[in-house]
Amino acid sequence: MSLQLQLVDIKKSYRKFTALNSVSLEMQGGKITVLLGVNGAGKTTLMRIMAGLENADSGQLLFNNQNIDCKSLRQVTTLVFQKSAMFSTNIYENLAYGLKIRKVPKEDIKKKIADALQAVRLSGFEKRRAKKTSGGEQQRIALARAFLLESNVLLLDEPTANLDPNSASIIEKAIVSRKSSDRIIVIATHNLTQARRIADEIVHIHDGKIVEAADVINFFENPKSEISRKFVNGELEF
Amino acid sequence: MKSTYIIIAAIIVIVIIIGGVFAYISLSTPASTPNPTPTPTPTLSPTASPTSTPSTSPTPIPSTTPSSTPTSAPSSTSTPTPSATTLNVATTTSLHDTGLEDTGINGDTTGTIKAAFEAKYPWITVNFVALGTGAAIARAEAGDADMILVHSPSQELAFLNGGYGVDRKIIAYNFFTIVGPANDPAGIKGMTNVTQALIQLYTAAQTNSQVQWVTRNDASGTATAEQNLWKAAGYTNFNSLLAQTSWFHATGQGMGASLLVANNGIGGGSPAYILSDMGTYLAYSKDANIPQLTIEIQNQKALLNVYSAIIDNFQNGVLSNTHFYAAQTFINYLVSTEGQQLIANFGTSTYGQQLFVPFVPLASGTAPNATLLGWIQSYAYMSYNTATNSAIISASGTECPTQFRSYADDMYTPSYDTVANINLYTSITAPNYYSTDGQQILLAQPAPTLSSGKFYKA
Amino acid sequence: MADIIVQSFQQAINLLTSGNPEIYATVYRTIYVAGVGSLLACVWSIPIAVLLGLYNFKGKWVVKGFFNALIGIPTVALGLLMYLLLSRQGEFGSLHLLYTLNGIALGDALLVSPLIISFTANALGTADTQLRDLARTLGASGLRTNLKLIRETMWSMILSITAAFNRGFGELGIATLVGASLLGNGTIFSGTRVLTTAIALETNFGRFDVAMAYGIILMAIVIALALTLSLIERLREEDGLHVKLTFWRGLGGS
Repeated sequence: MSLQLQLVDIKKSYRKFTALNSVSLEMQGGKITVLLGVNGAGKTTLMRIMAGLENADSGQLLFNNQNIDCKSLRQVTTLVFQKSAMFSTNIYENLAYGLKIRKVPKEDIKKKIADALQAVRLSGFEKRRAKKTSGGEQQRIALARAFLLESNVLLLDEPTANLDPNSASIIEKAIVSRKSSDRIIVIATHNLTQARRIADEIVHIHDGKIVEAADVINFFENPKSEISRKFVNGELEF
Repeated sequence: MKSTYIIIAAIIVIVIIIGGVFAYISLSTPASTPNPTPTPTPTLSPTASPTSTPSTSPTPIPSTTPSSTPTSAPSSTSTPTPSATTLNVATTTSLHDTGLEDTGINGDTTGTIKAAFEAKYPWITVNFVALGTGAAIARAEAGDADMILVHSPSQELAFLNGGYGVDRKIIAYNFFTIVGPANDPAGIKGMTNVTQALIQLYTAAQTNSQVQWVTRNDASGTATAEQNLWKAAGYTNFNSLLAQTSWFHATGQGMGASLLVANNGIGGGSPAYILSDMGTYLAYSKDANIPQLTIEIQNQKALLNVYSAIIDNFQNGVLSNTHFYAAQTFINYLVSTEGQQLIANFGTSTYGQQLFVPFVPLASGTAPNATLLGWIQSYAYMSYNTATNSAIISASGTECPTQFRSYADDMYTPSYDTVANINLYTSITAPNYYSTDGQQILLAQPAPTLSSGKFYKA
Repeated sequence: MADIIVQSFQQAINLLTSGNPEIYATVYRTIYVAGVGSLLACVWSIPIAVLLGLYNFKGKWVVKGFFNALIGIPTVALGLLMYLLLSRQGEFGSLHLLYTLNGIALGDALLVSPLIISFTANALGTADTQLRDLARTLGASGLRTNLKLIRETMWSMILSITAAFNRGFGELGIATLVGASLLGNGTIFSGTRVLTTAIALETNFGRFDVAMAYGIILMAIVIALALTLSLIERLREEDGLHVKLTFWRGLGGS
């Protein structure tokens, strides 16, 4: 049984502005899918719909070939925001929040948190006030928090945007190490080089539409659509 | 940045405008003119002046040379058009709340003292400051009022003895009443001996939770009268009564508010008994505000309530700026035929009975009642004890000892003294007091036999 | 005027050291009605605030405006309304709350509800909307999310409850009309006289220094409460227990 998340003909508008115009795509377990696109293309909106935080105006969401609603989506997905959000408690409580909801026993929580912090090179930070850390540290905490939950679908919105190259590479390694057949990883970014490094599949979004979807090698060497070609060549104007 | 300055400037301008408007309003109202200084002209000698003045207490005898010239100060008897004066009368809330003084019944001010007096003396504006008796007297002692109109002989006595007041006149009287729940759990309804009734109530309250009592305990005339009743019944320590909060409740507030508390009962308790003045009780019960309370005891000697007026003693340092003549004019009006008639008529059409009984006809003999007069004398008359240099309540005295009369002119003629102008009055006409259902009643005590010095003729 | 103030402070000390149980009872009663009133108000105010702050519905602006307006309702008007409802002839006369301390507490609860609702709804509404999404994406249900948001804005809520307490502590209208300032005998529930009605009473008797003394006691309690909260807030800013210990040790050492 393979893990699959399918979006069929998703439309979403805010008042007069159409954010997503008939988006259909398919994601498989064991792969990292990168949503590529310029700012404002609709990546975040799509991520939020996939995370079950917002309802699409029309269209279908299928998880393992079954219709799924927002509430259930939230149980199986975890989204890491572009700008990380922290509760006003300490780092331990922030990380433990999701685990407590899932009724993980206390000793396990302690161990898992310690491991997660180590993975993002923040060992020993448990007692610190989460809001009192730097932007980059907060992002790593947010990622650790998402990793901890071991959801079937991991959604990351610009995960390394605020990080220095060293931290960014640590995070990328951590993300890649999370690949497994029972996990779908989706990353939204406009960072071409990062996409090239870690993606298995590329989905290029522009103006709320999918202009191209291909595996990473084909996308970069042989982009079929005009827009994608310009994007890859760095010629697209924002 | 510029907009901040504009806003600040606008606020300053607005404040200046508002301040200017207020200043204009306050400065344009006419200020009350200073009291014309009384001067001893040859015709206005004080009615009684003992040759030797007591050295300790402030003397009511006029000082030798007042500062202003005799010609400029108007005398009290001839004032063609004096300048406008404001008269401040410190009065008690229970008297004020009946509406007799200025507020009238249900907002209708015809028949009030203020309306009639100001119509007759348009240059005097009367302001009634209504407080508990204690506070009202304190106001007058501080000089914030020109006279008092209260109903507490003991406190009036202290006022006179302290040198704060002169020229006391008894204006009117009525009776307190003890009201309570219709089912009368204490069994005191119709009892004629108030002392026994209170003892019976107290005893019943110890075992029967339905027996409740509300007291005002606010240093008012009514509260003082009530405390005296408890003392007469043997409960001299009022604090120990106050401590029995399961049935004895002290509100510290006015008559109306306390009646409402008694009517409702505390929490879920039974409606309470309470001592009330007749005026407030009638006003509230007519408006159906106290349906649970009915009259249990009324018209007994112990429940007598006497209203008197005393003028501030302008010769006492703090009180030198009080308006003596305006106050004297006012009191003269109150005891005049017109004033007494107005007092007698007040509320009769609305309530079907008198709220206040005028004193002058009783004392002068036009509407005589020896028993009533005797009660009032023993309750509210005063005589001066030269040995102790102070006055006491005494039936053989007068409504104002001569030592406390000052510039009284003809306030005390005819005199109601036991000392002067006695005429024996040989027949006593029917009592002039009526019960709540309009029936003429006889008073509880039998009429005493004639004796000297107690009865007066018009 | 200055001498009255000096006398008042002396009277305040006299009152507090007199050992008269009724005076202490007056203070406790005021704390009781304000405290119970505020806590009782929370029971229905917090859920309403959550609804107003976190959910959108048609006409929300009308409801918000309505509660904002009620914050400043004159206490005497509310007291009158309570009196009419709680008296024998009133709809809720059978509750037997008139002239009892609990009646005043109920009145205070109604008085401060708009305050708690408005402040809390505002705090919740302006709280990071991201936090709501964060809780949800981490798997929290609707109820759990709301609880988390309440916990996140807990400090604003505590401040609003304190403001509510102060309002109930210093109000006169309800205590007068619903309580009638009945003198007690030293125990809390034996009477209904609270600090504000005591001030009014003493003023009426002309005992201005005693009245002012009660006022001083009232303000002292309010100020002490405010300072305590300020202190807690300051300690919260730092990191937990370590700072608190240093603080207390510092006090002892200096």
